[in-house]
Amino acid sequence: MTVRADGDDALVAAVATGDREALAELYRRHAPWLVLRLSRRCADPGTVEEVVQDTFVAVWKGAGRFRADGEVPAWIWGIGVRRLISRLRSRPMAPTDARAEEVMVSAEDEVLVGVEHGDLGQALGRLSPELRAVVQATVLDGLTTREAATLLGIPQGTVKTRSARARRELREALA
Amino acid sequence: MSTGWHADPVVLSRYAAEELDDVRASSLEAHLLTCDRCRDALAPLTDAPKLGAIWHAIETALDAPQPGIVERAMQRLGVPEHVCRLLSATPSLRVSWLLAEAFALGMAAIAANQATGTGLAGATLFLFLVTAALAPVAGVAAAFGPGVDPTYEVGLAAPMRSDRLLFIRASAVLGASLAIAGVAALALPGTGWTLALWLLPALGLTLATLAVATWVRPVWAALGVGVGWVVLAAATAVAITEPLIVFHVWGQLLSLGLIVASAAVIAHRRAAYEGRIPA
Amino acid sequence: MTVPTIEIADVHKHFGRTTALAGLTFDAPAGITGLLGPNGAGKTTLLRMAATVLAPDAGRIRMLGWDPSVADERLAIRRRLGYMPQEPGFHRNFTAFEFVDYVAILKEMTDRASRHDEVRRVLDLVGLEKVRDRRIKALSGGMRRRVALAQALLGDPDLLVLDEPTAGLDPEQRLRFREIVSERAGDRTVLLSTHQTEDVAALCPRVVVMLDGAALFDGTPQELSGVARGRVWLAPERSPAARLSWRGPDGAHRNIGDAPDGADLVEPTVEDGYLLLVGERAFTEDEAA
Repeated sequence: MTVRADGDDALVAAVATGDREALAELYRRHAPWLVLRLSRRCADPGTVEEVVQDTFVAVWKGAGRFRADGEVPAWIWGIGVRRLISRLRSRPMAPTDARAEEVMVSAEDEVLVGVEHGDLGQALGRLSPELRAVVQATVLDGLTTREAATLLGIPQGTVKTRSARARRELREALA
Repeated sequence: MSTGWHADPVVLSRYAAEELDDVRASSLEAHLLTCDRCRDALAPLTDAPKLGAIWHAIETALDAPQPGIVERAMQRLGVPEHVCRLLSATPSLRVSWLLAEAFALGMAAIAANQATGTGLAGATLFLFLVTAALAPVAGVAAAFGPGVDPTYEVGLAAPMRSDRLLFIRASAVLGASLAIAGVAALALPGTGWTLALWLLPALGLTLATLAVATWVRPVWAALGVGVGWVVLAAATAVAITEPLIVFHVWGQLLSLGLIVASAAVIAHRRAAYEGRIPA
Repeated sequence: MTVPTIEIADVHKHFGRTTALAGLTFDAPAGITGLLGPNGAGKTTLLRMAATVLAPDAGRIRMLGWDPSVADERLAIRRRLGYMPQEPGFHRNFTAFEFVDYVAILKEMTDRASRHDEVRRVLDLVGLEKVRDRRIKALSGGMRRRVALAQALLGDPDLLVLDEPTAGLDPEQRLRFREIVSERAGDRTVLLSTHQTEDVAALCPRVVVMLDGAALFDGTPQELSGVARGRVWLAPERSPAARLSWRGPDGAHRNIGDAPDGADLVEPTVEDGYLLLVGERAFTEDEAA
């Protein structure tokens, strides 16, 4: 079986039958972005590594429950971010975003990235880092208020108020 | 998301170096969820040794033997992992065996309880005590030796001393049996010493089995000791018309003597547990 | 011969009234030595002694210079020993990985991480890396034999004792097995038993032919085939002078024995030498194998 040619769906189905090599291929394709994406939500590299390990072990065990109509990367991310959250729940340490300060966007970056970021991107960029983190957690990562609270190390009430404020600011910026 | 757009290589490498600003990083992450071409482009930019190490840990986790319930319980009691693995191969420590033992002793205890005040009171109590003393002997028979342990021959050729393996297993079996019998005894009628009359005989018989096992196979040793015990108990009960005589003071003292004598034999003849290949 | 690593001198063993070994004597150097002989020749008994799980009634045994009858030296041998018994037994519900892991614990590998690495290593060596977590009872006979071989390879032992390792394997599996063993041999000592002369011819620089508990021959495979030089010939039918004769695939009979004058002599094989030494005994017991 040329594993490379198989789509992710087929690989997951193979993993469900106990195919170790299919899991290795899934790992090859998805571990790189998973590591980076988790690292942006948790500053401790040791935790990130453990979460990635747990995620793929969970993929191995839960491959039979994956429905073929879903998206494999989103499924993997869902497992990964929830593993991260449950780990953080058992630790008092609040994960800090290593780059809490706003990164100045250079003129070059603007040109390189292109036009599609446009208004929304700029509006997001003008939010404070704390508000942006809440938007990332609730909108992009699809977490619940409770999960976002654990991830960011803040109370649930704060998540709600910041989320509301972010929405208000974005609406004003885009109006 | 337009399928035509793909991330610029510079953006990807900055993202991989964790130097990309939040907004673009979030946007890129959302894109990566749906674009395998960009994921494949990102992969070579990431830390290969680290990813390799994580994969190694994943394989280790998948290969690791899954401990059963009994093993996990033992690990929580502080038993080292490799000892637990040795015990996990013991037939008389499997859940099925332990449940059967618990059931048998539980039924016997309940029967004794139900029979209080009737003519069967003495007999049912006697039955429980005899069985409780016998349970660990059966466990030891099924714990070690040719015929019971399929890897016996390979084990003999291995550096680990056979007596050590036997003692580890016998201790675990004895501990489990005593615990089960102890719990079952709570259902017995009466209080105080009655509940523990079986304890010394159980220890005595188990050590006697191990002592005899320095001459013959554990299975035969257990059979001999077990049958001898049942015959002795039955004979004294019939002859002296006091069924519990074997558990009274003299019986307890004899058990104590048996414990001491057996321990001495075992200590002296430890080396005999090795090299017992049947012809 | 270079310094022998295995010394067997006048070893006797009885089981009740049966004599298993009757004054067996041979030496083996480092490298692979094959024990060839029909069932009942005493090969398993000898290999059990080499693996320190059986003691002789009389005679002298030295493995890697140590005496297995002395407790400390026996332990030293066991620390450098890998043993594959004739009937490898497995715990029914173990996976291949769990079983080899269990034996690794018996071999005193108490550290979990390094032990698991070693288990993976030996399973890779025998080509079973893909079935690590399959239960042994779900594995084919050939694969089970490879699991048994894997556990013998744990810890990279200096001494490998393999009892009928190729029994029940088909020719392709037997070939693969020979590759594994010859790669591992190096300057280690391997003692294996078989009643397949092809195994010996292909694998063993030294051969000991056993019959009725004694050694009939101790030398190289070339010397063993040389025993039959001038005593193997072809004829259209079974020759009355032949001790053994059978029909070849092309219709001619191969005869072994004292060749009559003018016989059509052929180059002898290792099997010819073996058969000449062992006679009909090679066939009568072989049928069961």
